[in-house]
Amino acid sequence: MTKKNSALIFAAVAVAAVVAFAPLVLNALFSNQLYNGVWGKSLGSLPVLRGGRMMPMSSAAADALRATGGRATAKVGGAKISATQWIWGINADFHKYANLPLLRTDNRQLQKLLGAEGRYVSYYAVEKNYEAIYKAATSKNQDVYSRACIDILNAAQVMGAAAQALCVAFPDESSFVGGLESWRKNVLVAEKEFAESEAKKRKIDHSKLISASAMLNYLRAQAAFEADVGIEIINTVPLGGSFQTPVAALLKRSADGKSAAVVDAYAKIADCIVKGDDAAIKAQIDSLYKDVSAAKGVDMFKIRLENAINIIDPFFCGLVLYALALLFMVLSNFKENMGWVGAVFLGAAALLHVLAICARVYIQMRPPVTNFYSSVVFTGGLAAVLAFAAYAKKGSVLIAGAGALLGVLSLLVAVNLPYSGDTMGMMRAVLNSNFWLSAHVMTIMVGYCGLFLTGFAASFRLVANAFSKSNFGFLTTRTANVVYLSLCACLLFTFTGTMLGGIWADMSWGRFWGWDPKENGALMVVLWTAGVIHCRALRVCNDRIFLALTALGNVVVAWAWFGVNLLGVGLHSYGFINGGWLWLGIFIFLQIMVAPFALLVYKGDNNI
Amino acid sequence: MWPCLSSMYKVFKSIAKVCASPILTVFLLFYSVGLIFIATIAQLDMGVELAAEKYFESFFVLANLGGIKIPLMGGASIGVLFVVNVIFSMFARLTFGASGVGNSIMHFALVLLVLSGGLQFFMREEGRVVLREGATTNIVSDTDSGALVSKLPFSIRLLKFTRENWPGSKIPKSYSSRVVFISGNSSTEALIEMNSPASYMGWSFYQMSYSEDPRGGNISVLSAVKNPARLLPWLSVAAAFVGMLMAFTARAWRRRL
Repeated sequence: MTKKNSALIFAAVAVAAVVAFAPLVLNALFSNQLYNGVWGKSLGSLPVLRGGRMMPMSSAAADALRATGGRATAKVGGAKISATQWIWGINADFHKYANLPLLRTDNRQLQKLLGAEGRYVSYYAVEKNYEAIYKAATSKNQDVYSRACIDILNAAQVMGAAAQALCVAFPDESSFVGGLESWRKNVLVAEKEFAESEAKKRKIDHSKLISASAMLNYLRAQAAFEADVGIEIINTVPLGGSFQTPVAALLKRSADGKSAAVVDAYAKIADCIVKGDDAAIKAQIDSLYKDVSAAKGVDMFKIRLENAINIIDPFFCGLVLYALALLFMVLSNFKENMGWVGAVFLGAAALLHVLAICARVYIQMRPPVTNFYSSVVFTGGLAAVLAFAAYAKKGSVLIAGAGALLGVLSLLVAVNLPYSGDTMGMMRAVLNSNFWLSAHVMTIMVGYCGLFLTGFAASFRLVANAFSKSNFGFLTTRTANVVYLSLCACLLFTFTGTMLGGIWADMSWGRFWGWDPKENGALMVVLWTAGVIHCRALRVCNDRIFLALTALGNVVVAWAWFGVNLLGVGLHSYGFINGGWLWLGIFIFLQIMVAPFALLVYKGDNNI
Repeated sequence: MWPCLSSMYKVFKSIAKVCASPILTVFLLFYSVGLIFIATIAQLDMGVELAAEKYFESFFVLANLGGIKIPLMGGASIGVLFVVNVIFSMFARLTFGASGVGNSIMHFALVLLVLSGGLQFFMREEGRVVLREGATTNIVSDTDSGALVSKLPFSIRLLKFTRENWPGSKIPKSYSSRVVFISGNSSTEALIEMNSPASYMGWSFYQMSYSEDPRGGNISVLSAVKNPARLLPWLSVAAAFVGMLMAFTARAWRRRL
């Protein structure tokens, strides 16, 4: 390696490090550490229970915010605030946030009804037009508009539930702590009256019960509302071995001192936020931390790790690095030493990607693939690692470029997937088996990943044929040899994975095969791959057609993986993806456009 | 006599040539991809089960492609052609050595897989058993229509149904039914859970779903399956896996050398 090349690689390593550490530095410099501290005791790393899983406040808040506004950050007065700031904000000062356009609807008609200027409407606007929206949402003929009405009502409900997840705002009380004090005082007064009337055998003086009963009614109404919320609510107060909402904790008469202390601490912090007294919040956090982290089932290391991942967002950094890698891999066709620079970026991105997956596996104690989101993330990471290994060992720019492209695509899809619940959510009863989940799903995912890599490599060769003047036939045959072996390996994985799914289904439901759309998709992939392999093994077509068929295999895999989920039928579809059809269509179109390149023939080519 | 035999041999040879044709192999594979795609789309309208019956469990099907009706070969025809094609191709291109033997194992295992699919179509009985807590029954009814499928030679009683959610959430963690199988004077207790069925006298019972009884208590829905050919697909999948592994590693190894 020459001096110039070493300098180049050194520079690439430095740039990769800057990209990887940029979020940490930016967070330390510009973010409010009280809410968004990466590792210390912050308001975002408090443990809460949501959907059966302990998670940091920042995760629960981001989930709730995404369910209301589609994004994990909110815009308040032109400034971006984090989900943690949002949830503390709506709890401490609901009136302010209810006036801001934070709920999202994409339906024009509904936007017009609510007088919105863009996609975002305020909570109060929904409340004001509640009757019209409710009528449309429950109308007999369900159309796009009524669907949008249902969505906006759900969003408002989620925001309402999140706004009382940290502290209870009793009506007509000037502060949260004041509300708690008068609740406890009124309960004591009522209890005393009951006891006295019992002891002296006199009638109960109802005037002494009025305040307590009014507050009790309020709490009961809120509890009923919480039970009615469509998605998972956030439980912040440790109580009786689990976590509950403050409303539920106040309604429990036998609440222990610790849970009361937690309710108090949350209320005090909310009061400090209203006053803007940051120093007082810091003083409160310490004792609150002590109480919640001692609760059953809380692993503070996991909670902090997840909070750190939320803030650092390694998948976004990975996306940037993959894009750089792809750029330099393409450049290496013109200047060879650019390949090494690309490889550094690819390696850094793959490292970050794999570390993030490992962290998710550790937090969740589940195999890396549990739902659609994680299947996309896992496949991209695996492709990047394979591609990096291929470049390090064989100097294969073709595979390295395909791996970088797959990395970019997978993280793009993962980052832009519409909200469909916690990405590390608990598994439903049917899927609650770590062994089968990993054996079946991961084997298939390895196969799909390999097929995409192979498909991209084949596409790249076909398109490159149009630009290379010599060596045309030789390069095509060499690529076809590699592609053939790779397809065989992929067939082994997809076949085994699909059939393992059959065995799992046979063991759990008593049927090996049910022609479920997802099963159909997997079978289509297996059959297509087998068909392409036979085309070459039985010499049915030439190498260029073989490469074209391999490239078209990407369409089949994309259908099996994404298209079937878009159909939204059957056991396996983990959620409808709005707008996904467009992107799938674009991908399929581009991939099909590659096939005609197989018709190019070079003069003197003996491989026809 | 001899000329007759030799002409018969000639006829057989030309039939064998067609049956072992590579074009047929490739056609069948790509054709099935197309058929499954059409059937998947049809499932949107017809439902999963009905479309599967129409497209895969038939020899011919009148497919509806956006209003235009086109007759197509169904899954059963493909299965038959596949079995014929593989058997003839295997004998026509028989080789020995690790790769060849692996190839043969893989392909014959796949034939067995397809045949066991056909066998199960005829031999397998499936339905559901609906039980209130404390109730006893021996009736297996159809999952969709509710019609009687079969009467069990024993009866089954639901002692208790349990449902557990993940703490503080509405996501189900597990369902289970504690049941007793009663045959004559003998009774056997068993626990049926998600992913963990119970078997009795050739029938297997799987936890399917549940509902709440308006009169109180729970109703458990079990799926009951009798499948004498159950192990065939498992065996053929295992054999196909071994065959593939042999064939592909041998091929990759040869390329390295």
